Amino acid sequence: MQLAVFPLPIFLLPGGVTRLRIFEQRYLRMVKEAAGDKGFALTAFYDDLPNNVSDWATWVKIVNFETLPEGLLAIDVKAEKMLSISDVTVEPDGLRQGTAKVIEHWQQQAHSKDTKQLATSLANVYQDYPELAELYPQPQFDNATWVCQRWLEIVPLANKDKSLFVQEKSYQQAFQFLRTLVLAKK
Amino acid sequence: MNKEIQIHDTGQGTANKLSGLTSTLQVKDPESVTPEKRIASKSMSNENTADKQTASVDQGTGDPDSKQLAAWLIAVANQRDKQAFAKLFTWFAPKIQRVSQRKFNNENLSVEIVQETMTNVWRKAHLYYPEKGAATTWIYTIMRNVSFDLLRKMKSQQNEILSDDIWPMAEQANDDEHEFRDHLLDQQMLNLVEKLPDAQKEVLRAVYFQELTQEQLAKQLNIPLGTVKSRLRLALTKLKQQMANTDENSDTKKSARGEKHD
Repeated sequence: MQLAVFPLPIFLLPGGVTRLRIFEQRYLRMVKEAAGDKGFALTAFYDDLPNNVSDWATWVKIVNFETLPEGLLAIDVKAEKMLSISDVTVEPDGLRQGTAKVIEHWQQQAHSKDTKQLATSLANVYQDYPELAELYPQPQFDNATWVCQRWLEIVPLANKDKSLFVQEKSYQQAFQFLRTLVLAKK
Repeated sequence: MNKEIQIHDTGQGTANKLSGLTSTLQVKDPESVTPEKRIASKSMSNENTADKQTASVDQGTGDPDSKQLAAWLIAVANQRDKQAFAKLFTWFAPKIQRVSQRKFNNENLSVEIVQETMTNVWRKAHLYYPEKGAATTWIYTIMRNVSFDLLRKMKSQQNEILSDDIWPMAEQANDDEHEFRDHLLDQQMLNLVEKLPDAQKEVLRAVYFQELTQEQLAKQLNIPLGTVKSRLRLALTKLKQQMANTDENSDTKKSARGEKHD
């Protein structure tokens, strides 16, 4: 599958929502072409890689958009799946395109005492940061996978380190990581 | 923590767009209101109209074009031309002030940004290469760097001061301005972020990219900042060990069973 590639220093796992403001022509074109079910690939921005594109990406779809007073386009994108990205090419206007393949991400995980605690602390974060809460009108605090994914997106950790959690079988590591960081459990 | 992603071109369009916003601002520097000497390049096209500009930027009568701005900048670089600098000041100062004022909502700060930026323009003009792009872009890049530095200084009070959009959002891309399509501002901004010391990087990443800073996380978990740092280190070390173990295990299994690694 061919998808437009948008490198940004953002980390988004399936289910994650973020708001982007678009005002470069090439990305406006990307948004146009991504309309409907197609979406585009959000890749991590790397300084030192060709085209600054990582070999993995998040497949995002546009779930909402609005034109801001200054004429900027704001889009809310929701992450659907993780992707591998290869054969990146750059079109004349600078828009990157790549070949994308879906990589599975974590299986549904059952809630444990610890993940419930993580859910509670995540809910507290959302309470303190309404801008974040707004992105999730229906937060899934009863879903352990969802809770860990959202936590990872917002913890202060370099994207290169976060990229370890892209792997399909990384749930356990992610959970352990959050357990140490948020719950102070060894 | 509304996400602000700055991927944009800044060209002359910026000037055009902003001048509308700044037409009421007065430039305070008295030097800037003495437009006398003709300067520099003969290729300047609207020298006359530009010379007539007064301290209040008046759109429609004397907007310098990008060639003109570049010529002034080159005159500053090569001849230390004060008149040319005054003209640059007249043109850019109110825009920089206006943008900074809007972003930081603090008059002293925005004045400081104007001063720092324009001082750097004076000092570093020789580093401007017209073939690499518009003067406007170059000067706004300096403004960004100055703002970055200020952010660094203000780190302790960041929660009050940082709004969700620090940088000039009004600088919309101008479709006619192709020279900067990709290579300067978006990558430059990201590269700059990468080059900052970790603590500053984190603040910026958090502002732009919707993460909690370590301070915010500390507050959230009701623990000291130092504890967040040490927990982060510990969690990361453990993670990397686990990952290494997993790799080893799967490698061992793979070779033992002759299976293909997933």
